[in-house]
This record gives sequence, structure tokens and C-alpha cells, in this order.
Amino acid sequence: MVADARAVWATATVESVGTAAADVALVRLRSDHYGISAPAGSHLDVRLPLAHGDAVRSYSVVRSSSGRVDVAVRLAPASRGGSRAMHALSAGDTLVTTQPLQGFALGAAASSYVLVAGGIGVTAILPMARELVASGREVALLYAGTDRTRMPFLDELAELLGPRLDVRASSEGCRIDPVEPARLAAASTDPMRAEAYVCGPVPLLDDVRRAWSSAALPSTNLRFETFAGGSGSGGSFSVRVPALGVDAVVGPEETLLDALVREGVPVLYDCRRGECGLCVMSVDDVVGRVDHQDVFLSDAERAEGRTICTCVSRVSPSGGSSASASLALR
Amino acid sequence: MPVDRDVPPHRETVRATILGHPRNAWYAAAWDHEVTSKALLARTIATTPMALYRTQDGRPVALADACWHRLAPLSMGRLVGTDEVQCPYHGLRFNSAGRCTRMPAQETVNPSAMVSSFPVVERYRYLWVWPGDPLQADPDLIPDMHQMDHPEWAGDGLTIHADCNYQLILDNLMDLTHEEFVHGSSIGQAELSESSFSTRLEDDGSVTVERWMRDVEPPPFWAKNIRDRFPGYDGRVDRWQIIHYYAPSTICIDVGVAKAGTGAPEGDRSRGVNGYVMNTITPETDRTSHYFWAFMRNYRLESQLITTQLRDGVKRVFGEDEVMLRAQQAAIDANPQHEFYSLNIDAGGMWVRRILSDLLAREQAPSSEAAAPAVPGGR
Ligand code: FES
Ligand code: FES
Ligand SMILES: [Fe+2]
Repeated sequence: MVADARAVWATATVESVGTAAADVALVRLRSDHYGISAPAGSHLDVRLPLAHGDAVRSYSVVRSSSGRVDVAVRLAPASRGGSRAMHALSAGDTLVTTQPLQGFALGAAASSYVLVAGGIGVTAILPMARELVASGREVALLYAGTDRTRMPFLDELAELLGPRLDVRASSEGCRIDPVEPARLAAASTDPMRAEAYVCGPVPLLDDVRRAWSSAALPSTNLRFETFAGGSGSGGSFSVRVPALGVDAVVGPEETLLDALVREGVPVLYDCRRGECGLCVMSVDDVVGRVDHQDVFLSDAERAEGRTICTCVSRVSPSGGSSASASLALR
Repeated sequence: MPVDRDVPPHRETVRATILGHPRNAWYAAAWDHEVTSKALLARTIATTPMALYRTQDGRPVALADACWHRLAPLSMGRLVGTDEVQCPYHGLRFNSAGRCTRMPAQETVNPSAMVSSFPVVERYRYLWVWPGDPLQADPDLIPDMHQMDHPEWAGDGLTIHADCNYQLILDNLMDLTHEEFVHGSSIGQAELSESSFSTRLEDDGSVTVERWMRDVEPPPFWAKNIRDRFPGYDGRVDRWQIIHYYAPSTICIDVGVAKAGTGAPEGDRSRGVNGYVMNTITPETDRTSHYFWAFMRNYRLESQLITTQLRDGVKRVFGEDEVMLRAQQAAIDANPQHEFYSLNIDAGGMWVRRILSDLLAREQAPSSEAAAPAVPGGR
């Protein structure tokens, strides 16, 4: 129920690879250490051998039973990294993974539930919808994506939720207004006991969080998980650590933290998903703009611009053509 | 020559001497008065250490007793605010839902930081917790122990910390022929093993064991009770014991005596005295249990003297069971290669094993939801 299980790494076999939506692969893995079934909110960590060394990626468990786990992976644009490796799998291949780990537990005490899925974040939300419907809870789901053909599990969710599923496809001109989750909670039978579970990109989450707190709803009733850390992709940029004589390029398929570790920078990390703050470094100088993808730094700390969570955040060009940062250990 | 025969599926639990316990079940964790909004109570329920407390408005809470950060026991911490616990080590705070609300030395709170908050229901003078999947915790599944706080019943009880697997206590209560040998000076009598009994699996899944001893001398405990209601009575009695088992581990025993031949077996108990021995047993570890019991009666409700006398009398009787159960567990542990064999008198206990075995098997099996075919394919 809580992240109380130690990760155990073991070999898993790919049982099948299918398609959940355009560019979304559904990979079924089998391993003895997966157990009987994983609670909603669980994920697997997967070790992937990539060009520049092993990388770890996290994928939500979309379904599990008796030693089998399904994960759904969206192919990142122009990916040569994690998602490409996952899409290249075929039946019989082997991978090293953890057992299902819990990091986004569903509480049982809420009076009603608002689920919010942005893009591939639906993989964490789908098992929650299943469990909540099965136990007869009051639940509604806002599911946003670019286009219905690229949004997995629409059929299953429609069958589960009926009119309580609200699909927003930007190709149809529909988006989630960040105040909606707070509004739905406020309109429920017992707003102070309504909970929202959000899995999606960090900017959406940031906006939802601000709206939630201005609606004066209890902050602990807004639960969220981001998937920024899992992808490790974006544009490349350069990083310098003058104190250590490091000058390197962060490739599009790796995280800033990956690059720093590769260059031998003694940086600490733990969660690799922008939550714990151990990987934070000082920003001495930046060309371009820091894309904060973490949930550790506060709005005020971000505005100051002096720190960066290296496991998830990146630097992107603003205006000019290059992006770079000069960092220092804290 | 080998012969093919159909045999029922082998159940490992039938002869197991250490029985596992279901997690998706309500277990009594404490008496209502043990848990307060002043201090935390540490108690292990179904092998899960829990920190029990009440919010400022009196709602009972059960959190996992290990801080998310470095696993310090939250039960050593203190209660703060309206519903929060502060970890004794580095001061993280968790609310009654188990969510972290404050982290020292940072401006945000890690969204993953939480401890399990177990469903709790206050009913029948006990706090019941559900150690398993919280979404399945339906309060209607709490066994019926209404005599505990019903105006037509009076009485009290205590807790035994029993040094044995919980199933040994269920066995003990499902077969009362042991009274003749273990409780000879209070409730035992030879007619217990001489009289016939019936064992039934009821439609609601409970098990009943019923025994009537007609026209017998009342043993000392019952001679006193019937005189409490009918002063000076010293004749023979019809005595009954009707045992009701509710899964996984609650046993309520309808007991009493009535003046012999006045129709008690046929349903007229007006010339007798009736008690209910309430027992609910919570596995603590594989080899220890919290055994909550009470003796309730439906006569002389006004007498606190009788309440205290009955509680103390039953406490002495159960002390005799406790000695036997501890010795039995020690013998089991000293003979790890041995298993149990059964007698005719074990029918009630064997139904209990069958039911527990099925519950355990169901928890080990994949749910029908998860087992549904999920053939990956295009959509
Ligand atoms: S490693 Fe935890 S925030 Fe980066
Ligand atoms: S162990 Fe609880 S705050 Fe550190
Ligand atoms: Fe006994």
C-alpha cells in the first residue's frame, strides 16, 4: 500500500507486445517475482541497456495477475532511448526489472474521487478507475490527450465509467482547464473529503495544484505522480561544472543527472522523479531557460532560478539556438 | 496396481499446526477505552505493527507504526493538531489518512511520503481494523457481537495476550468437552462429554455447535448464577452451550442453565439464566494472539457486583485455558515435524479450518478482475 517494499531486481520475460494506441506499445512481462497482483498506483522500474550505458525507466502497471504485468509505453518523438528500446521488444526477449513498487497509493477514506490523466499518465490512473468502480465509489475521470487515436484504454475506460469519463482531445479543441479538478471536488457531497489523483505532465500538475490550493481544499487530498522522470528525453543542451572541469552535452535521450554521473560528478540522488531533492544542484549561469519538471522546488525557489533538480529538469533554448547551464555542487 | 480415484483437493491447512490468517478481514485491535486522543498506542495486528490513536474529535485512527522516512515507530511520537502524528525522530508529520503534511527544512512535501492508514470502525466496545485491501473494508462484515453494548445485556471482559497461534484458541472454543478436564473446579462436568452435540454449517457461512445436558447437577459456576436470579435454588438443571463461529476469528457462545424440565430445550428459558461468552481473537504474530473476551448476561442487569464477579470468575477459568494453550504451542514448536490429527469432537474446529483455508486460498488466488484476459492488440 505504501512504498514499503524494497526493490528486488530479477529477470522478466516478454510474453507479448501489442498496441494500445498509435505509438503506444502494450508490453506484457512475466516474472516469478511479480506476485499475485499489484495494487493501483504501482510501477515497475526497468533497466534498459542504452547506447551510453544502462538506464532505469519507470512504467506504471496497467494490469497484473499471477506473475504477469502489463505496461504501456508511449514512443517519445525521435527516441533512441528508453521508449524506443521498449518498443523494439518482442516475445521471448528478457529484461531486468523490479517487482511492482507502490509510489502512488489510492486512499480508501475519501468521500469521492476525481481522477485526472494527461497523456500516457492514464497508465497510472486506469487501475485506480477499475478499483474504485469495483468498490462502488463515487469517481469521475478527466482524460486529456492530443488525439483519440493516440489515447490508450479509451474503450475500457468508457465501459467502466460511462458518462463519468470526460475525454479532452486537443485535436478536437478540448483541453483540461486546471480549475476543473478543484471544481469537481468542491461540487461533491463532502468537498473536504474529496480526493483528486493526477498523473500527467508537470505543467498541468502545477496549474491544478495552484487551483486546488486557491479553492482552499486540503493540500494532502490532491495526490499526484509525474512521469517526467521516466522519459529522460528532450532537446540536448550542454552542461558545465567549472569546479570539476566538466563540460559535456546532455543528449536528448538521457537526463541531466545521467550525464553528470557519466562525467564523474559526485552528485547524490535517490528517487529520480523530482520528489526528494537530493539531486539538486546550484545554477550559476544559464543560457536559455530551465524547464523545471520536479515537484521538490517551491514556486518561490523556481522563481529565484538558483537551483535545479537534475534528475528530471532540463535546459531548453529560449530565442537563441543554444541552451547550456553552468552548475555547482551545493 | 495404481488405481485412479477422485480425491478432494488436498488442503495444506487441514493438518497445519501454525495457521496463516486472512488479511482482508476485520480484527478487534483494542477496547474502545484503550485508544485516546492523548497518546499513541502501539499494537501489532495480523503481523502489522500499528500506531492507534484518536483525532481531537474522537475518530479512531490506525497508522502503520513505521515512519516513511527512516522507519522510526510513530507510536513513540506525539499527537499534534487536529488529527496528526509527529514522528519522534525527524519530525515528519502524518495526518489520519497517513499523508505527510510537513517535512523539516524544505518548502514542499514529497508527494510519495505516506504511511498506510488502515480502515478502523468502532463497534461493540472494540476498535476493529482491516489490515488488507482498504477498498474492500465493508463495515457490514464485522461479526455480530451486539450483546456487548445492547441495553438488554450487561457484563464486562478483558484481554488475554495469548502465547499461541490464533487457531489454537478457536479450536479451544469450538470444542467445550475440554471443560471437564481443564476447568473441573468451575464449569466442567462429566456430562459434557457424555451428551451428544450437533455441528452445523449455516447458510450465512457461520458454524454452530449445539450441546444440551438435560437434568444435570449444575457445576459451581452455574449453581451460583442461577441462585443470583432465583435465590436459594439448589435443584438440577438443563444446561446448554450453543457455539456460534463467525469468520475469521469470532466466537459467541450462548450458555446457560434453567430449572430442569421447565422447557428450556424447547425454547422457554424463563426459569433459567442466560449468558453470552463473547470471544474475538486477533492474530498478533504467527505464535501470539490478542484474545478479547467478555461475559454478558441478560438478567440482574443492575448488579455491578455480579458483573465483577462474573468477569473475575471467567478470568480464572480462561487463565486455565491460557496455561494449556501456551504449553500446547511450546509442544508444537518442539515437534516441528508433527502435524495434527482429529477426533469426532473436532467437527466444529474442522469447519473453522475449512472456512479459513478457503479464505486463505481466495486471498492467494488472482482476483477475477486481474485474471480477465488482457490480450494485447490493436484497437
Ligand atoms: S533524485 Fe530525487 S529529486 Fe532528483
Ligand atoms: S524517521 Fe520519521 S522523520 Fe525521520
Ligand atoms: Fe476453556
